[in-house]
Amino acid sequence: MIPSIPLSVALTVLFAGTGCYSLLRWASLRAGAAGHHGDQVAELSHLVMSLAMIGMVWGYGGPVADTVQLVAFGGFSCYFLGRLALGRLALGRLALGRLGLGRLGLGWLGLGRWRPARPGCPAPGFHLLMAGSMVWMVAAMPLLMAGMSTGVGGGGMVMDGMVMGGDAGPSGPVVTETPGWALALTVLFSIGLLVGAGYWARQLLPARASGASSGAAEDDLPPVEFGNQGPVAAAENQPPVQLGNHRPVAAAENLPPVEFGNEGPGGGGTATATLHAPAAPRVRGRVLAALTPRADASCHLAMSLGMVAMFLVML
Amino acid sequence: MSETTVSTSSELDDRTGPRPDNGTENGTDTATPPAGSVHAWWWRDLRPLLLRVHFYAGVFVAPFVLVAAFTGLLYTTTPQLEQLVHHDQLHVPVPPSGATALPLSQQVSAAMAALPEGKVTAIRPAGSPDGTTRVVFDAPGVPEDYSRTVFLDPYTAQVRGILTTYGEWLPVRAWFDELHRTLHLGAVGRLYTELAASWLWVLTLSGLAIWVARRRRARALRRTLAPRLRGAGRGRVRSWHGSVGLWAAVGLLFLSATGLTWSQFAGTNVDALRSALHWSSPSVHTTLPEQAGLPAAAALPPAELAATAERVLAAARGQGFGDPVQITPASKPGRAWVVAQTQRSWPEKQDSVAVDPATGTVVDKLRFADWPLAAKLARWGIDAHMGLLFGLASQVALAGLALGLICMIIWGYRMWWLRRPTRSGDVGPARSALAAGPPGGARRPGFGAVALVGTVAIGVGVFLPVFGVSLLVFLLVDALRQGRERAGAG
Repeated sequence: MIPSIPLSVALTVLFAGTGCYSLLRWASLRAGAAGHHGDQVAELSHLVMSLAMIGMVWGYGGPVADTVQLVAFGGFSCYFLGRLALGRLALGRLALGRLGLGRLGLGWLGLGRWRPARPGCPAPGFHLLMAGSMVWMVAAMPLLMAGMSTGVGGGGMVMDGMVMGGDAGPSGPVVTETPGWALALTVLFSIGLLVGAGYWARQLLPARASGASSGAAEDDLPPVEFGNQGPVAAAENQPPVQLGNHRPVAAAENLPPVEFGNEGPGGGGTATATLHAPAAPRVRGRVLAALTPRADASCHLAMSLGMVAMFLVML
Repeated sequence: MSETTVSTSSELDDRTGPRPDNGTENGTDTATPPAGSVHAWWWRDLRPLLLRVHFYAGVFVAPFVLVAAFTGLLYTTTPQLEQLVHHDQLHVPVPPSGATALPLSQQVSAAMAALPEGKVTAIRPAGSPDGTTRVVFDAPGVPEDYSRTVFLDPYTAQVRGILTTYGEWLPVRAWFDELHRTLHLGAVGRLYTELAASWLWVLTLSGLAIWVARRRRARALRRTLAPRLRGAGRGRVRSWHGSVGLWAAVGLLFLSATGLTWSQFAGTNVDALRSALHWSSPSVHTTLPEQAGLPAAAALPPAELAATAERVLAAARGQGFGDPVQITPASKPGRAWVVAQTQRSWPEKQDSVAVDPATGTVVDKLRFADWPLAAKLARWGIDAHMGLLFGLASQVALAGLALGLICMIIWGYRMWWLRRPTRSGDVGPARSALAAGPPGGARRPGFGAVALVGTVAIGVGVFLPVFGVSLLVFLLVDALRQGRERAGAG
C-alpha cells in the first residue's frame, strides 16, 4: 500500500473512475446499445486492471491474488497479442490485394478467410502494453521493492512510496537491491505507457476528434503500434474509423437523447414512447450518450498515467 | 398512445408466436413483466439477464452444486452412522445403580499412560451414564487439524479405543465431513465448495425472480406454488423445477450463506467482516496476573496435569456447569484453563469459564445468553447447517433440501436437453444439446440492467473472490462467443 493517504485517495479516485467507465462501456456493448464498435474483452480488461490497481494502492493481495492476477493479465496479453496478429494478417491481406496478389492460394495462412471483425479491439497494441505492464507490475513488485527499509509489522516492506503486505513477497533469499535489468524494464514500460498517454491525449484535441480520416491511423501511430482498425476498415470500404473510436449508438447527434426499450425484439419501445419515458431510461440515454470516443480517450489516458504513477511510486 | 403502445406491444410480443425459448408453455404461462405496464420497463431489461445468468450458472456450476448436495446428503446420515460404527468407543455398559464414575484425574492418568507420546489438548468427561470420557492428544504423525483421542470407560478407566479424530468427529464422520468440504483433495478441493456456495445464492435468487414474476393466465397461485402433476414435456419439468425451487429457496440461501463462512477465501473476508462489526464469537479472558497460574500443560508432570484437570472441572461444576463440557488446558504458562459447555443442539449450552489451574479460582466467565445476537445467530446457523441444532429434525430437513437440490439440477439439465434443436440435420444430439442457448436468447438485456447487475457483481466479486473470478471467466467466454458471432454475421 501507499503510505501517503492523499496519493492513495487520488489514485483510487482515478482508477475508480476508469473502472466505472469500463463497466459502463462493457454494459453498453453487452446490451448491444453501443453499436458494433468496441470490444467487450478490452473493456473487461480495463475493469479488472482498475480493480487490481486499487487493490495494489491499498495493499490488498497475497500470493493467491497475485497468481490470479498474473494468470488473468497473462491471458489478456495473449488475447491482445492475438488481436494484434490478426490485424497484421489483415494488413498483409490488404497489401497483397493492392499488389494484385490476392489469389495466391494463401488461405492456409488464414489470410483468405479472415475478415476484420467490426466489433474488433481498438488499439490492441496499446492494450497489449497495458496488460503486459500489469503482469510486470505484479510479478516484479518484490524485485522493485528490494532495498527498501523494513519497518512494517508482519514482515511487510516499505519502499519510498509503497508498503507491501508481509505475504506478498516471495520466499527465499531477500533481495536487497533492485536488479538493473528490472529497473530498465520498468522504465521501458513506463516510457511505453507515457507514449500511449501522449497518443490518447492527442485524440482529445478538438481537431483530432472531428477530423479523422482513414489515413489518420497510419499517420498517427506512435512508435508503439496502437491500432489497426483504421486501415482495415478502409480496406473493407467501411466508413473511416478513428483510432479507439467506439461510437455509442445514442451518440447524441443522430438519435434522440432517450432511447427506450429498443434492444432487440420484444423490447416494446417505439419512437413515440420516448416522449413519456420514465426518468431512469432518460438517465440511461444520457449515460449512453456520454460514452463518446473522447471519453474513451480520456479513460485510456487516465489509465496510462495512473499506471506510470504506480511504477514511479514503486521506483 | 405511446404508453399504451409500449405496454401492449411488449405484452403481445411475449404472448404471441411460438417462441419455445421464451418461456411460454402450452399457451398458459407467459414471461411478461410483473406489472404488465410501462413501469415494468426495468423487468424487460432485467429478465433476459437473469435468464442468462441462471442458465449459464446452472449449466456450468450445477455439477459442483450437485456434488456438494450429494455429499451433504451423505453427511446428514453420519450421526447415526457414527453411533453404529464406533459404538464401542462411544458407549459403555451402565453399571448397576449406585456405581459412580472414577475421579477424572484417574481417567486422565490412564489415558496418558495409553498414549505417552501425546500432549493433552482437551478433556471431555462422559456426558451421559453410558458415555465414555475422551482425552484428546496432539500426537506425532497425526494430520494437521486432526487429533488422537483416547476413549475411556469412566467407571473402570479402561481404554475403549484410540482413534484419530477431527474436532469431536470420529473417523467415519470426519471422513464424510472431509468429503463434503474438500472431496479429500486438500486445499484445492475447498475451492469446489466455495464455488458451489458462491453461486448457489445467485442461482436461487435469479430462479426465484424468474419463477415468481412469471405471469400465469389461470390458477396463478397454484401454478406458482405447486408443480403440475399432469401433462408432459418441458413445461411440466419446469413446473417441478420452479415450484420445488420456490419452497427450497430459503433453505438454499441459508446453506449458501453458512457454507461460505467455511470457505477458504470468502470465509476469510467473512471473518474480517464479523470482526470489524464485533460479531465474532466472544471468548473468556485467560490471561492471569503475573506469578499466578502454572506452566503450560505440556510442561506439567502427568500426575499434576490430571489433578489440575480434576480441580478445574470442580471449579466449573461449582459455577453450575452441567454436561457436556470440555476442559482445555493452558497452552502457555501464566494462562487459565478453560471449561466450556459443548451442547450444540437446542437449547445450546455454550457457557464457558476460565479457571486458574493453580488455585481453582474462576477468573472469567462468559454466558451464552450474553453473546451478541450476531454471534448467537452465527453459532445457530453453523449448527443448523451441520444438522446438529434440532437433532433428527435438522437431519431430515437437510436431507430433504439436498434431495430437492439434486432433483432441481437434474430437472434443469432435462429442460436443457428438451430445448435442444431436434432438426439439426447431421449434427448429433449431444452437440445439439450443447448448442441450446439460454431461454429467451433472442432478447438482449438492457443497458441499465447490465450496468446495475455488473456493479453489484463487482462488489460481491471482491467479497467472494471465487465468485468474482468465475464470473469473469464466464463474461470473457461470453464476450468471445458474442464477438465471434458478430464477426461471422459481419
